[in-house]
Amino acid sequence: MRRYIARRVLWGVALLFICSAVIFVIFYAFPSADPATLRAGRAATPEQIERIRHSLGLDEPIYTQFWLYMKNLVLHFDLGFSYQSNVPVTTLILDRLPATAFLVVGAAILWLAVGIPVGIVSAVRPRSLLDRTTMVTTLALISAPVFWLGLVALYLFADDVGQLLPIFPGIGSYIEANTFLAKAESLILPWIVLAAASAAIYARYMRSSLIDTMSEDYIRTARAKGLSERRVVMRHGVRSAVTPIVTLLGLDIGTLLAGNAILTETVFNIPGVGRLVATSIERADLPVIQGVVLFGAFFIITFNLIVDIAYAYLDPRVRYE
Amino acid sequence: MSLLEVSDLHVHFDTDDGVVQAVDQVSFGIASGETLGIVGESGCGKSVANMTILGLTRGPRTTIAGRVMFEGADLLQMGGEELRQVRGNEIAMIFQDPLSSLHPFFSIGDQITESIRTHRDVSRANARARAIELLGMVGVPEPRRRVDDYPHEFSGGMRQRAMIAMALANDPKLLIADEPTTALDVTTQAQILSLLQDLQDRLGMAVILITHDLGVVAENADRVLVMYAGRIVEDGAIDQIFYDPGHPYTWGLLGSLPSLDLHPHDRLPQIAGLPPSLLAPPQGCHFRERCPHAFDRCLQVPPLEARLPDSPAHRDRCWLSAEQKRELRVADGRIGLRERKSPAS
Amino acid sequence: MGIQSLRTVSLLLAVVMASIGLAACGGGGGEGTSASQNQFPPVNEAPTSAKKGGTLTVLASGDVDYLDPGAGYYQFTYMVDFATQRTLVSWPPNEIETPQPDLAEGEPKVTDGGKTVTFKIKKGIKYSPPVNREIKSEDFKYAIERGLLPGVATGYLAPYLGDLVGFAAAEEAAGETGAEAPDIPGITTPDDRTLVLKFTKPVAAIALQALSLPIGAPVPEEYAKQFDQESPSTYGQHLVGTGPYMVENDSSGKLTGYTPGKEIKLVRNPNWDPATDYRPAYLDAIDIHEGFGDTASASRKILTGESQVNGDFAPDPPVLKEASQKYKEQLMLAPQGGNRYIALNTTIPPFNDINVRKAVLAASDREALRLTRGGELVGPIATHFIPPEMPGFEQAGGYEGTGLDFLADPGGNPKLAASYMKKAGYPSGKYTGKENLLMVSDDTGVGRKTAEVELDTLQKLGFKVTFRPVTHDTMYTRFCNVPKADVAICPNVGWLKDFNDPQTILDPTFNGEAIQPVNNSNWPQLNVPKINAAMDRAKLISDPAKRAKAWGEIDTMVTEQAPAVPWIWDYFPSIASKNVANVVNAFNGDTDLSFTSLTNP
Repeated sequence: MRRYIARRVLWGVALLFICSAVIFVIFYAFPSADPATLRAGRAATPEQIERIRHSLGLDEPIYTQFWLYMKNLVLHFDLGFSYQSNVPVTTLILDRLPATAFLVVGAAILWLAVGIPVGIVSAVRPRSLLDRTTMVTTLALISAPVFWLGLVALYLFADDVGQLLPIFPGIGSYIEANTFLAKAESLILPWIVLAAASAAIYARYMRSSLIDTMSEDYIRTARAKGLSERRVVMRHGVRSAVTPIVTLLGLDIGTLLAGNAILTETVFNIPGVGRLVATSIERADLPVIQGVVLFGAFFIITFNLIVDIAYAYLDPRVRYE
Repeated sequence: MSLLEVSDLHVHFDTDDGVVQAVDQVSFGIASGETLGIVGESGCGKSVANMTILGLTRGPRTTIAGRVMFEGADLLQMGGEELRQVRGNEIAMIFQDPLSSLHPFFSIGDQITESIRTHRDVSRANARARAIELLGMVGVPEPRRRVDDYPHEFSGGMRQRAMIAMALANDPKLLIADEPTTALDVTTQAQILSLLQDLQDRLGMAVILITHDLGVVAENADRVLVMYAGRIVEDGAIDQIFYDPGHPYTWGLLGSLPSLDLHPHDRLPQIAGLPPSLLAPPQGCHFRERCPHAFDRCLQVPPLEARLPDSPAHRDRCWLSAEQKRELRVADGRIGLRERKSPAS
Repeated sequence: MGIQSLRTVSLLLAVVMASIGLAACGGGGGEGTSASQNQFPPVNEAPTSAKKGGTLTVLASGDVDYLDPGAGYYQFTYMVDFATQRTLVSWPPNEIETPQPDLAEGEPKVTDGGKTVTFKIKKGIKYSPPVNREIKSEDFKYAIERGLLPGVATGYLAPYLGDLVGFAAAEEAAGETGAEAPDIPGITTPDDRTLVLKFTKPVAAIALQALSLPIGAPVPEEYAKQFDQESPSTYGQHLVGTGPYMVENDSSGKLTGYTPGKEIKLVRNPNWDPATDYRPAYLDAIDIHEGFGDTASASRKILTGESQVNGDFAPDPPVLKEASQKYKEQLMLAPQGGNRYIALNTTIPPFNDINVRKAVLAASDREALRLTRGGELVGPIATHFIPPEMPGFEQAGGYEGTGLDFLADPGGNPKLAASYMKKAGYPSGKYTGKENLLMVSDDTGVGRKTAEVELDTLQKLGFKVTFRPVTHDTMYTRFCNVPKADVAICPNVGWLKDFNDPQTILDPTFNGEAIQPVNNSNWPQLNVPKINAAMDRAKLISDPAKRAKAWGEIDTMVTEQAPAVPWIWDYFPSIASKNVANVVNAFNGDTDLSFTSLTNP
């Protein structure tokens, strides 16, 4: 097992390296805003722009820039400075991370708490009224765009502009909040919005996974042993059916932490990693983009590793590969 | 004295393609300590009939009729809770593929103790001790160490032994073994069968041995049922079935057994054709379309009856007279099914 | 979980905007070019009953560009700077003609035929903690000189102060060493209280106005030097100021109140003495919350909530309409002193033919263009380039314009357009040539809508146009501002004044000498020697009346060249919550934080 982890970690590092290189290439290959000009301001002369280009190191060939970047990263954990604000990239990202983490973890708890039980109940009673209702609802939630859902939620429930039941804090409330509880309160609507589509997806996955599992031979054996149906479903059925969900969960959380919650963050104005990378891309702020991508890749790789280890813990057959 | 008495069992499944008549007019009994073999090819209804005994085929689209009397109660009428007390306790069942029939995530020990603690109020430690004892009883070496192993860590034969151990955990009166050796190689097969025999002698339990292989029942069964297309076509004592078979299908099964008399390059005799679809079975005798001796009476369903006055326990479902049977069942000097010459009328 | 790519961010805004745009159609005024009355004139003075106390929240979609007063060059940044960085001269909210002395003691003296300006520095002005000491004249010299460092790079130093004695040499020196601010001999400080600026040309009048921009704020050298040695300079993360408010910082001076892209916290500057300042500073604190990507929701939040104003975004047209109907007391439309136009590249055929350009101007429907921003409510249709309330506006024809036939119909004149095309040699009245014209615009929001309106006009005239929407910054830095990119039409350009002089509107944008290979702001690349010479002469005129007349004539000459379609002199809509006594600064059209107060602090 240790060798397995070691191999995965090494592969992860290699992947991080490849990610940085790819971002570098994309940034230079496709036309985007010129950071030196942006930095220089609207009436700057070409000479001024060149001077800034030089001070940012942008006039060096790509491979030199890349080499300097990697050197800084590996030796000093220094991700450079934002072209826009001159603030160190690590500071920017670490400042945004808690908001995203809070959003993601809360939403994950919510969607698991809702999606898994709904999936189980639907699987146990296939084609019942409950099952059919669930399937239609989940399809609707998966199809609804997140930002639409967010806007509708605000329109109905935000305490400042809500029309139906104005009880939850609205946009911008996360920044206003000072205490942990106030922040949590401001995230209630975002949690619901972000969790909605996922809960639906997980419910469906759980349902189909459990339906498949329940047709396995060992379920028949469990029943033949005289176990209660509840035990058969939960201990023998769900325990097996849930393992692919664990994989899905790891990937979901990893990508969300990497900035995939950007639409939810935008609609509710939560200052998270997703917003950061969006504005950085618009402003061609390469160091920030690079930094976020690396962080993101790190999270995804880490969570994949965690999930694989969890899988081995859950399924003894996997342990000896 | 019958331990279990199945009377006129019918099991129909309502599928999207129509109603599948999986089990039709099945009646048999088994006494304490007896070994009953049930033989037939895939899809003949032998597994479904036996799973129905334990209520494992119940479902919203299943119709079950008939009676299954066990210790004075009709199992088919029992509610789920009552039935669960019988399952794994007084009647146990083991299945064909022990790798897929055991849960891959739990150790053998866990699965056995689960069976024990479902039906008895014992501590975990005691249940575990009993599990080790059971594993030893079925011939698993080093049971103390292996009790914590997972199913995939056992070899095929050991796995089946473990499965048997699990089934025996609560001293069942009846063990239903559904093709317990089909997935095993011949040597291991013999070991398992001998184990079952041995356990049966020691524990005095009845065994229903379901198989498609006549060779398996030859050594081990007291009585044999032959099933075809959902119905019992012949039942009797083991010697009666082997030496005085009364149904053409049985002749065909016997004829297809490999024999030392066959020359190396002879093809094994087979029964021509395929079993009928149970969605729309043929009218009358189900074997009619494959039987070379079918005649017009076969359009009526032959009842399962004793045809010889001095063997009341030997029944078959064929309209042919006893003399005709004795004559027609010999092909090339052995009992077998002759080739069909013309299509059925 | 579906992957939500960046494209869907644009999609978010586009979808929101698209549904908005559809709603905005219909109801175009069509009053011709007469001055539209501003239905919501801004309040430029604090009410007499203004109360002290409370915290104001400013909602913004983006960030300031730089808090460093040497680097900041953005209207939204000025909102913060006006409250935290006092300058030699500055703009009280009701003043747009000439800046008032703020850190200067009395009016500056202009001598030597307009080549020398002398400032006396007020006594008793202290920097915010941790510097705490009194300001002196050397601080202003350092502030200007550090602007030459590549790590600070003030964007407007050369155009307005470039004629200081020894400027060019200092610029060179700064490029080479890069860490030490070079000396500009033209700036001298005979004593702690006196600052003298000497120019090689009589441009003192302009230079004076330029010092109302943040470059005119003092910077303590002994404190800032260490930060200026970095490139980029980190003074912006440790800055001090002299305004009534300051960005929250710790005892070492490091800013704790600024998280880029997230928020800026302003608190009272303990060292600020109200007796030395015309600002009342009612509020106790100001919280700027950034990152509101969905400006429609943010606008609604302000209108229905408490103690909020908008910072850097204009409310979307439908919200604006709603505000004008339901929240009348909370809306103010402030002239910004800027224009918007659609630039035609005069170096690319067929736009190098003036008749073709005149045809495009005649065909353009400026009312439809204005509708994309919200219609009549957002400002008068432009008929030339100098905006209202600026010297030279009336001289250039005022709201009516100079009577040019191709700008006479705000709704467009297809017949006239056809006749100009015929004059250009296209007898059918439509373009029949082979050129494929590149149009680069914003890819989201109102900008894109504007572009699409003009695209339609051009296609109806027979032009083949390649329409390329890109992000806002890419549009500027890689396409429109780069002559080599050969962009034929830039529909989303315009210019905001730097201060109240027409030179700031016309020189960088239509002077042939201002054309540069990158960061070019003369988008049409207009290069008419007669006009260039006229501008060079007009720059040196000090007499205000003569100056206004000269620039007015230049505006007319430029407009006659039809280099672009001027379509609006737009207002900045300032919205505030019900309990905010909003005071708008007439200079930049934004809320003035030092004069605004709450009615219920």
